Amino acid sequence: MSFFIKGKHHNGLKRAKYSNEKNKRRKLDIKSKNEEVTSSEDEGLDNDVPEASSEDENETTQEKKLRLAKLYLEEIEKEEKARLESNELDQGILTKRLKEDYLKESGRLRLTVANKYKDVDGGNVKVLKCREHRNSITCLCVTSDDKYIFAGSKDGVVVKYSLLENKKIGIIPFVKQKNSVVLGHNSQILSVAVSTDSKYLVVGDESSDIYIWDASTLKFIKRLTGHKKAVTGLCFKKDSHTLYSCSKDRLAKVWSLDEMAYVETLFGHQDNITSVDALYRDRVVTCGGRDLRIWKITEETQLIFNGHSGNIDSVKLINEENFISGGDDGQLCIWSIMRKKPLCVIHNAHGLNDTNQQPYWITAVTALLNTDVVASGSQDGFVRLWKLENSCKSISLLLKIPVEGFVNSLNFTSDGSRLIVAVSKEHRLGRWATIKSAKNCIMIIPFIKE
Amino acid sequence: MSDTEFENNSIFSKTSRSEELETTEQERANIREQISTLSFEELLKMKEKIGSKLYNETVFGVMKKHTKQGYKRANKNRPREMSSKIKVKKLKQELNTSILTKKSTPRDPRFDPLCGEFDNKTFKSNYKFDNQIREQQKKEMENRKEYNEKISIREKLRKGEKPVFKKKSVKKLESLIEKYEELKKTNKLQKHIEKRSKNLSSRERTLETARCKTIENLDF
Repeated sequence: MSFFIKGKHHNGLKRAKYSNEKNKRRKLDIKSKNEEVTSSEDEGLDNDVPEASSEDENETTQEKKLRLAKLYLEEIEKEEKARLESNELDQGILTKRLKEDYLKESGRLRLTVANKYKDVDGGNVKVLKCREHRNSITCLCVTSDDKYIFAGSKDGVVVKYSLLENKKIGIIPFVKQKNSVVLGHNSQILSVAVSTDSKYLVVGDESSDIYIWDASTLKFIKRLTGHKKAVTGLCFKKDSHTLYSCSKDRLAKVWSLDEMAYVETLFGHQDNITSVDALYRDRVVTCGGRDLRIWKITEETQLIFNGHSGNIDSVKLINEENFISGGDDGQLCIWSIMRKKPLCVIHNAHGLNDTNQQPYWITAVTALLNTDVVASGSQDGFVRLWKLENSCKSISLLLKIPVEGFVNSLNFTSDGSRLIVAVSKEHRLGRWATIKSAKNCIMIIPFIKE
Repeated sequence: MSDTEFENNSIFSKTSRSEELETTEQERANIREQISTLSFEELLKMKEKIGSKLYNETVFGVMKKHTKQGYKRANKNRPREMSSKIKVKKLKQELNTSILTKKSTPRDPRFDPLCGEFDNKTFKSNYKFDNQIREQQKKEMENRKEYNEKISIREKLRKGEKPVFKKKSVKKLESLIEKYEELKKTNKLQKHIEKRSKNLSSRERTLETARCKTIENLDF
C-alpha cells in the first residue's frame, strides 16, 4: 500500500519530485525568462512543468494515469478508514488528505499543531539507561516508523533500543584493535543516522571513517573512508540511500549507499563542520564556525548565511524552506532560504550562567517536520519547546521541560507525540564542564495534546 | 597507465569546470581508449579515489553546462552564492596564530609559579626513567675495549702481577687489523681502499701546490 502513497507515478516509472531531470528542465525554462539563476528554484516551487507526450501515446498514458489515480484514491480511503476507525468517510476528509499529500510532496506543507501541545505528561516519562553507556551519549536517531532508537556515546558503543518496549535490544560494541573483521568501533562515536526505510545504520566516529551497519541485525556492511578527521554529522536524504556526511576537516561529502561509493565533496566551510541536515530535496544544510551553508548538490553551488556571533553547533530543517540553528552564543535563530540573515533571533534562549554571566550554549535543536513546533536543549536544566508564528517571523515559548544535564541530542517522533532527549554529564564535543548530578541516559517525554 | 598520470590529466582535475568544457570529444575519446587498457580492479580503485560523480561524467560525458558567470542574486537580502567545488585555502589568520610563529619564552622551573612546589617523592617518581638510562649506558661501557683493558691493568696491579702495557704503534696496528676484518665482513673493503687511495693522492697534490707556492714566495 505504501508503494503508492510515497510517490506519484509517471508513465509507470517512480520518480522523486525533485529529481535531476525535472530540475534541469525547470531551470532551462526559467533561465530563458530571466538572467538570474540563483534562488529561482526555491521561488519556483509553483512551476510544475508537465511532461510532454506525443499524440499517439496520449490515450494509453491518460488511461493509465486515470487508473493509477483511482487506485491511489482507494488506498487513501483505506488508510483513512483504518485511522479514523469508521466505515463511512466524508468527502471532505479525502480531499483534505489529498491536499496534504500534495503539499507534502511539493514541500509546502505547513501544519499548525503548536496549540495542541498542552503539557508534558510528567508521569509517563521513560528513562532508558544501559551499562554500555557509562560515558556521555553524543548522538541519537529514531527510525521513521518510530520503532527503534539508535544512540552512540563517547565509549564507542552504539545501542539499539526499542521504543515500543522501552528497552535495549542490541549493541555495536567497542573493539580496541583494528582487525580484518570489523566487530565494532574503536573511538568515540560522534554521529549516527538511519535511512528512511530502516535498512542502513550509518555511524561516524573520531577515526574519520564511516561505518555502515545493517539496522535490523546490527551486522557490519561496509566502511567508507575519505574524511581526514572526525566525522561530526551524518544524515540521509529522505526516502533514498544518499548519505551526507560532515567532518572536522571542513569537508562535506556525498555518498551513495546503493553503490556503497563516494560521490563527491563539497568545499566551502572555513572551520569544523558541526552538523548536517537534509530533507527530500537535494538541498543539504551544514553549519560550522560562524556561518551556515546550504548546498545545492546538482548545481554544485552553495548559499551562505551569516548571523550568529559565536560558533553554530547544530542546525535542523523545519520544512523545505526554513531551518533553525543554535550556537554557543546562546542564540536560537530561525532562517529562511531566501534571506541571508535570520528571520528571527532569540538571544540567551536558555538564560545566563550564574557563575560567569555567559549565555548557556545551545547544544541541540530539533523541529517537528512541516509544523510550527521546534525544541532546543542546553545545559541549564530545561528543554524548551517553541512555537513559530507569523510564517516563522516570530517565535514564542511553548513549554519548559525539566531535564538535568547536557542535552546532546533531541528528536521528535514522526507524529510529534513524544520527544526523545539524549542527556549526559558532558557536552558531546568535549569536556568543558561536567554536571555531576546528571545521568547519562535517554529520556522519552510524552506530551499531553488536546 | 598509472594513477598519477590520470590525475594529471585535465579532465580529472577537480579545480576548474571551465577547463572541462574546452576538452573536446577527441580528448574524451582518447581517455576512453586509455581507460580501456586498465583492468577492472584498477578502474574500481580509480573510481573510488576520484568519486563516482567525476568518473561518470568523464566516461559518459557532461550532461549540461556548469559555468555560471558570477552568481547574481535577485536582491541584496538573498544569501550569496558560490561554487562548492573550489577548495578552501587555509585562512591566513590560522597560519599566523599557529605553532609555527609561537616563540616559547624560557621558563625556569625553580621560579615558575606554574610548576608548583618541589616535592622529593614526586620528583623521584617522575624521573625514575633516568636511572634506567644510566644503567643501560653502564652496560654499553662494559662492552668497550679500552675500558676493558684499563680494568684488566687495574686488576693486575691490585693483585700484584706485572701488567702488560701495549705500545702505541702496536695499538694502532691492532685497531687497523680490526677495522679491516670488519670491512671484509661487510664486503666494503674494496670501496674503502679506493677511497683511501683517492684521499692520499689529493693530499699529495695539495702538498705539492703548497710547496711550489712557498718556493715562489721566497725572496732571493
